[in-house]
Amino acid sequence: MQTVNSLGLSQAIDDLKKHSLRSLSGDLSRLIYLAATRDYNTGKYYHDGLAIRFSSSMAGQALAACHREIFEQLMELPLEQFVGQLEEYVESNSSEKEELIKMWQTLEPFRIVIPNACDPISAHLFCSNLRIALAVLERRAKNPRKNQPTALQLP
Amino acid sequence: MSEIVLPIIIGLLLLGILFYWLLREENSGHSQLEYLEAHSALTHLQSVIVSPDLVEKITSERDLAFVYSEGEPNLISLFISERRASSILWLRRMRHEVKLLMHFHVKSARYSASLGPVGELKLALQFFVFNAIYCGLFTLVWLRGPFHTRKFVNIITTALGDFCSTSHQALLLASSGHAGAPRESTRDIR
Repeated sequence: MQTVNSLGLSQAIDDLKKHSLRSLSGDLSRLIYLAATRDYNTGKYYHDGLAIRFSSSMAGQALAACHREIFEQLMELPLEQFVGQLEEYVESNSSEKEELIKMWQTLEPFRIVIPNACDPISAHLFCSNLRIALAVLERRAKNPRKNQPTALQLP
Repeated sequence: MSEIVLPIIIGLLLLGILFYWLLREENSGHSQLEYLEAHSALTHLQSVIVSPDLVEKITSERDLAFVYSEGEPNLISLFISERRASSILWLRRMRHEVKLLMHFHVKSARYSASLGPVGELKLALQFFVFNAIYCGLFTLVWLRGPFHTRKFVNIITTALGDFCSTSHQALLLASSGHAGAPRESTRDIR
């Protein structure tokens, strides 16, 4: 029974990756998409299409597993590549670039994209990396000529 | 007749207090919940806190070089203050888990001699060494940020590894008193 369940779960994960996640550009977009399928009140994940093909419980488990996996992948990235992920997300978004950066710095909506049961240090580091990445993009947006950075000397 | 009523009442009261103390003594050994908390603190310390990946992420010099390459002083101060906050959180979580474990061991030692005097002394010494290094590293991080503290970080993770190893043995000994506790091979550290 457990083998059948894990087989079903891996099929649901493959399905989710092939259909819903493939079309999104970058892991940060995928993370935000997956976090948006989670109910803020209950912490449960919902996806109608996936629930029809599998079951609501299986769909929830697949969404939670992909959410954790993508979060871990993002946490593995060096800061430079993390900034690249945020840049890709900002570019793919229809909102005004500077407005999006400002709103993210003010409201910090990225706090809610952290998976359930994530350890507090990783959660803190993720938010910290996003604040730094936003500051990098803000600087680049304000000084487009300085996009070719002039390096300062390491202490 | 009335002369003996007062001493009887006082005697009964004293007996009552004595029974209350006895009952309290019986219940004051560590509970299964405390055991599970200590076990989870140890697992968290071993799998998350001393994980080289986490330490590398917080103190990454590659990230520092990237921020310097951006050439913006405000960005550099933001980066250093963010990494300092992450390091302080890491250190505080580490100390919180160690204190939780130590509290459990102290409580266990009061009611059982299973760890033995050598084991208890070893644990106390490792706790003292950990605290000394912790204070040094905390001050260093607070003053200078987490970069260039790699040597200290290695020292504290080694000290923590020793404490965790002794703690693990002590928990195994304590687990023999709990039906719900995970059974593993017990090797006395005395």
